[in-house]
Amino acid sequence: MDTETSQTLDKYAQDKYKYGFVTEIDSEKPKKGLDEKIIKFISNKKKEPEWMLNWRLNCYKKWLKMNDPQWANLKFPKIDYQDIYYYSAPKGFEKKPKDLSEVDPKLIETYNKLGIPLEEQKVLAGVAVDAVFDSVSVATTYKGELEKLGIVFCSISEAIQTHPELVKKYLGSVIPPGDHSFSALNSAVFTDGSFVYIPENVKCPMELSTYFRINAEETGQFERTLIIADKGSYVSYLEGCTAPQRDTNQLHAANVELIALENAEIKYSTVQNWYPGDEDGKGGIYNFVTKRGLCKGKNSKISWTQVETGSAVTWKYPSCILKGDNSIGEFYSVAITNNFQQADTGTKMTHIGKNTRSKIISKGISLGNSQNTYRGNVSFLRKADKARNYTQCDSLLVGNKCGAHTIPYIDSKNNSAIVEHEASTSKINEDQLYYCRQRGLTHEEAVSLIVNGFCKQVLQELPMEFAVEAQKLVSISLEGSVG
Amino acid sequence: MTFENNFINHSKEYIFLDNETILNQREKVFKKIIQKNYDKKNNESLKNITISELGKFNYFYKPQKEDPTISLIDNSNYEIRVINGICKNYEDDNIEIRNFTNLDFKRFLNQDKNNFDDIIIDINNVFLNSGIFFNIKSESRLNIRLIHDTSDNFTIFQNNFINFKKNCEVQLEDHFHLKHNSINNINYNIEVEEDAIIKHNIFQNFSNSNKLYLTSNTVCKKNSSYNQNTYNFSAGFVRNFHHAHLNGEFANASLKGCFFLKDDNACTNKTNIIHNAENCVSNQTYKGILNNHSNANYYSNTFVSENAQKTEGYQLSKGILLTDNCSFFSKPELRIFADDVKCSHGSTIGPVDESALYYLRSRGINKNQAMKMIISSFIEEDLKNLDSESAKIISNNLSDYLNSLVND
Repeated sequence: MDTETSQTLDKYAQDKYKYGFVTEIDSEKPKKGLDEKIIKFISNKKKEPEWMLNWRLNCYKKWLKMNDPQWANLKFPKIDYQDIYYYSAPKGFEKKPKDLSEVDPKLIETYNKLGIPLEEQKVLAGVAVDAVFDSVSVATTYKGELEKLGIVFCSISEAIQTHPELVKKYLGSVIPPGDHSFSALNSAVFTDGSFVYIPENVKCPMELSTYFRINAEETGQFERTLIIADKGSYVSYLEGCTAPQRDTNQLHAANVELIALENAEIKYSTVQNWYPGDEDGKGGIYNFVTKRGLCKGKNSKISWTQVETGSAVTWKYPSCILKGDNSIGEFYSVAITNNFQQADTGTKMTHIGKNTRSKIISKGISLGNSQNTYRGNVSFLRKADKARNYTQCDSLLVGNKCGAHTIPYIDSKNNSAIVEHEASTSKINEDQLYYCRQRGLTHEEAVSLIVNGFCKQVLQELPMEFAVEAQKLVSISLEGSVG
Repeated sequence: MTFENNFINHSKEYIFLDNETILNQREKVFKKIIQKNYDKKNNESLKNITISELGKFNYFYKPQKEDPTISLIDNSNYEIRVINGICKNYEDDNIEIRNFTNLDFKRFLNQDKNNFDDIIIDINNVFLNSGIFFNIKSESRLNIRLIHDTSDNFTIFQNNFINFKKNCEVQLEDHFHLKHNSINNINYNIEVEEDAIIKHNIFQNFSNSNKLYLTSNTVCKKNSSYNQNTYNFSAGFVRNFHHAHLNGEFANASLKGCFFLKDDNACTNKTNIIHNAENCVSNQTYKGILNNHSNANYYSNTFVSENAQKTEGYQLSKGILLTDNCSFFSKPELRIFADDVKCSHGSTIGPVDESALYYLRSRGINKNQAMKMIISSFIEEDLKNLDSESAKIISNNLSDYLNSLVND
């Protein structure tokens, strides 16, 4: 590494997390720890019907018998589940505000600091925001407009009250609570999240969006998102995350379930920028997310796009189960790790139906002392005639203290199915760097340009509303240490 | 026979039988296997097997009646027959070959244990009943043909050391002539010294009552080159696990293989290349054709340590599935800790290319013939570097395989 590079590295290594601040709102929380009492407390707080409570308790019993999955390429201290708060809601929100003016001004201020003013967004971007502050949905905008089309977009707690038949039918149908310990844990203690139902033949006219936020210290966030796209419908859902700077590790174990029926299409985009810990690897969020989509009907399509820049530990595999004939699964991912971040992320494409197709594009960028792993599983079952998969995963290494790992699992049991997998790992091309420098770009600008080009294939899949933010995030993450 | 019985009755036979250090070590490894004390994370040696099944075999080993031979075809061509794990002790200007003796226990104990918690190697250690030292002297230019003859029902647990001294140039061939019901668990430790150029061809073709577990662990020093090709036409189970460590600058290693499976046959393959020095090049390519109910696994791993800058590492796996009932699992892994590297991997699994078939059919070639042409062209490039005799063996085996394809 030349001196200029290391100077820039040093300079940006000092960069502090821009979104690190704490909103001082009295959080109402019960004791730390997890037992049946706390689950009953959560269920009671949410005024849930009995079947829901029983479901939670059932999942809790399953969780007690399970161990955390060990196979990921991650190192972190054992999680003490008894040292976490499982419920926290800003005070005074027992009764939900009817509109923005009823929302605590401090909350609104927090969002403003993050650059998502609710009012402005409502007018300018045409985005309906289901903002989650800690564990209670604070405000849901554009609900009226959506209701006219019959679209249900609300918090999951509300959906349990208003649409119990849909929740009962689909909750846990894609991610069975017994799948692994994080899914069981989430199922037992989930506090909030979004619920979306798109009726038959409705194209959702706007991008639905939720902003997750982890605030109270040592509060695990257990979001549960359930999206159901009925026959012939379309929806695009955005999820963005950012959290204040903290010293103790925070746990986040979300479950996201998507169900696409015949001819339906779901596009799910994520920008994740949670606090990754400081330059010594202290603090940061543990992110254990289970995301899974089921292409249940014929000709359905589920597309995942993610930009992962935050979290100390990321454990995340948005997957597709391609059950309906001719269904399509897509996965586009950019994962950037810096300092002491660790990411083990990828996807799982399970081809069950005939003529199912999947495409995986994954770009990993490792900087500093970080470890970045792509882990993907593509499997063709016996009946997946003429199924097809194309996988491309590329890694870029900056500096010689980081690691890039590619661990694909490819399993074919059908002789008419075709799978193609390509991967490459390299550093930033010297020739490209030289070319850019010659044309007057600084070293840093040149690297930023090249990396942006490297990620382009994924970033262009993001919806307009997100693309700008994502690009900003990529360059912020890079600024941290690229020279 | 259970694993415990095998251990009690047979772990103290033939080699090192009065050496306490070894016996203690065997006791320890035995406990490890019984208690299944393995790191299961990423341990490919435990995939698709059950430890108790693996321990159930009828141990059988006796000193052989037939004499092993070494025939010198000319000054540079050797044919060595290893009968039930035993060879003839021999030495000349080029080569030194001898069987393990009790005095060799230190060498055995100190061997590179880089085989990553491999249960097959552990079993090999417990029941070891033969071993051979090969010493290829520096500056030699040799062709060596090694024929492994195993009689009915024999269980061979063998540990071989091959040392290629500086600047030698050797083509080594392994042939397996296994009779019936034999188990061969063979572990090679290969050392390739500076500037040595080694070609290692392994031919596996035996009947379905036999099992072969072949493991090799190669260490390459500066400027050396090690090229391994395995050709698996066996009807019996084969496990090919090959590791290579590139420990000196400018060394290169290539681990290649092809397998042709039919009926209910299975095979497991693993290649693992570890780059520990700068400017090294590695290559891993496995290709397979699967027919009927066969299934195959291929695990490959390229590991680049943080000081191995300017590394080039390539991996490729290709599988052709001929029927709906066969399956192929592939896991090409890259683990990279250095930034100035060029590494890639590719993996494809699919049927025979329809358009190629159509092209040939439209030119009046019948379907069988066309299939044969496409499949032979699939491995054509792997045959280029073979000498005429080896190429002949392969093409005979290949045509046998092709003729056995279902005619429809």
